[in-house]
Amino acid sequence: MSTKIKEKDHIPSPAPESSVVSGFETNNSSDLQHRQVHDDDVGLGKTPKAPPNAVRKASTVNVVSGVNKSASRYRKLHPNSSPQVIREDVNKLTKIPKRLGTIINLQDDNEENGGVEGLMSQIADTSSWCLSAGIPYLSIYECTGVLTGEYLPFLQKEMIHTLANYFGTDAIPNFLLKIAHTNESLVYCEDAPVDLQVVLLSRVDGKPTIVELTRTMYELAKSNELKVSDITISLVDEELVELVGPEPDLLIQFAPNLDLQDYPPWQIRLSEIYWEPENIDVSYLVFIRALQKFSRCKMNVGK
Amino acid sequence: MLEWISRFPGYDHVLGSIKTIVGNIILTGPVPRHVGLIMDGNRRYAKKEHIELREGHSLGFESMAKILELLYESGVECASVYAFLIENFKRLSYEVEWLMQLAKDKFTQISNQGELAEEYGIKIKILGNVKLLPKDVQDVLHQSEEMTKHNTRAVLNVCIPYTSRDEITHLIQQIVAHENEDDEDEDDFFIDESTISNYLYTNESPPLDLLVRTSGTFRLSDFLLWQCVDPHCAIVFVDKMWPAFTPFDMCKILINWGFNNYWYGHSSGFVRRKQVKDTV
Repeated sequence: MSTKIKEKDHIPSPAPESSVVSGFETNNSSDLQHRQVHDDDVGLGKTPKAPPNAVRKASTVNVVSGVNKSASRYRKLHPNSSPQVIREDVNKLTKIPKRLGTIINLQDDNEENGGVEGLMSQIADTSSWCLSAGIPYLSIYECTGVLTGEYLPFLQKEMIHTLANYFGTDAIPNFLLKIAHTNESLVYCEDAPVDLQVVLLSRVDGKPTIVELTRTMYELAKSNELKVSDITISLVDEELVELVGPEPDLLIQFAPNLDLQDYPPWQIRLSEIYWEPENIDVSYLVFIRALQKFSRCKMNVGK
Repeated sequence: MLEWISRFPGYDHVLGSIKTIVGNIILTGPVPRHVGLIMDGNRRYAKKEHIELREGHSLGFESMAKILELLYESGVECASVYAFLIENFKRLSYEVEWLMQLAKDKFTQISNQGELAEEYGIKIKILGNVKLLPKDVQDVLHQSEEMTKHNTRAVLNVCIPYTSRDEITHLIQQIVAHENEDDEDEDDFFIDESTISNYLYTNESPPLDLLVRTSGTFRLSDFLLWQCVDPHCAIVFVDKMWPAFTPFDMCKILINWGFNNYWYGHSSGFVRRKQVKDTV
C-alpha cells in the first residue's frame, strides 16, 4: 500500500500555467501586468459571468480524451478507484457513519491539487468513496467558502467524470449538490432517488448563522411572535439543522493538525474527530482508516 | 509505580519545588491564558484497576487538584473543568448521588480550608445550569463562589452541570430577553459574534487557548464548543485515563503548545490555509 502512495506522490502534476510562470521569471518588467491578467482569469469567482479558465480546460480535456483512456490513467493515479475494493474494505467494519463531515483546506493555486479545480476534484473523490462505502450524506467544510453557486455546474461535471471512472458511464449514481448557506442545489437526475447528498459548508454556516438566528429570534420577540420560554435546545437545534444541516457522526480533517477553523459549533457536539499527523492529502487511506477507527469507538452520551 | 519513593522524608517538599521549577521554565515561553479540561475516564480507570467507582471519582478529583496546581504555577490565568454534564443525570441514581456528595465535600473543603484557593488566590466560578442541581449542592457551590470572589490571581471555572448547547440556548434567551429590560437603546442593540461572546458563561475569562481531553476519545462532548472551534484554540486528545494523567503529561502539552506558538505562530502547529475575512 505504502509504496503505491509514494509512487502517486511522484507523479508530476500537469501545470497549465507553467508557461506563464516561467515567462514571468525571465523578464520581470513587462510581465508584471501579464501575470496580473493571468491571476484575474483564474481569480476565484470574481467575475461571475466568465467561468475560470482552469475549469473550462478541465472539462474540454474530458470530452476529447474519452472515458476509457482517462479511466486507465485515473486507475494509475488512484489505485483504489474501484467501488468493489472500497466495498470490501467497508464490509469488514461493524458500523459505518450515516453522515460524514470533512474539513478540506483550499491550497494555493500553484500547488498540486490547489485552487478551486483541485478542491473540486478532491470533493469528487471523497464523494465517490462515500458512494462506494454506502454513506448517504457528506458535508464538506472549506472555511473560505470559495465554491459559490456558479461553480455548482462545474463541480457536477467533475463529479460525473470521476463517478464514471468508478462506476462506469451507464451506472453513475444519483447525487445532489447543495450549498448550505444560499440553499442553492443541483441534482444530477431529477426523477431518481438521491444516493448521496453533498453539502458544502463554509465559515458563514458556523458562528454567523447562530448570530443570524439570534437576530431573527430577537426580532420575533420584539413583535411578540415568540416568547423567551419558547426558546429551547430542541427549537434551536431544529432551526440550525434546517439552516446548516445535521451533525456528522464522523468528522475527518485532511490536514496534519487538528484545526477546526470556526467549524459550525452546534454541529460538532458528538462527532468523532479524525486526522492524521503526517497527512496533507485528501487520500483514500485516511478515509478508510477514519472509518475503521469510527467502527471501533463506543458512544455513550453522558452515561 | 515507584510508590516506595514517596515514602522518603521530604518527598512532598521536593515534588513541590520541582513543580515550581518546571512551572518557571514553562513561564519563559508563551503560556495559554485559558485552559479547558475534559476529565474523562474515571470509571474506566476504576474498572481497569479493580477499585470501586466511588474511589475512581475521588482519584479523579486528586488528579485535578495536581494538574490545576501545575497550571497556575505555569502562569495560566484561567482553567475550566468539565465536572458534570447535564447528560450525566442519566446515570444510575446512586452514582449521581456520589458525585453530588463528592462535589459537596470538596467544595466545602475548599471553602473551609481554602488550600488551593488561598495559596494561589483562585476565584471559583460556577458555570452551567445550576438550577438542575439539588438544593444543598447549590448552596455549597454558591458559598464557595462567594468566599473566593475577591481573589484575583487566577480563575477556576467549574462547569457543573454544563453543556455547550444549553449555554448557547441560554444566551439566545438572554439576548432576546434583553429588549424587555431597557427600551432606550433598543435600536442601537446590535447582535454580532462579540455580543454572543459577551453572553457566554465564560464571558469574564480570556479566550480559550487549549483544550485537553483524556481517555483517548476524540470527541468534544458538548464542552465549550463555541469557544474551541476558534482557530486560535488548540485541542489535544490524550490516551491516558484522567486519574492516570499526571502533571508531567500536562507539562509536555504546555511545552508543546508554547513551542508551536513560538515556532509556527499557531498553537496547533504548522497550519497552511488561506485567511478568511469576516463575512458578517
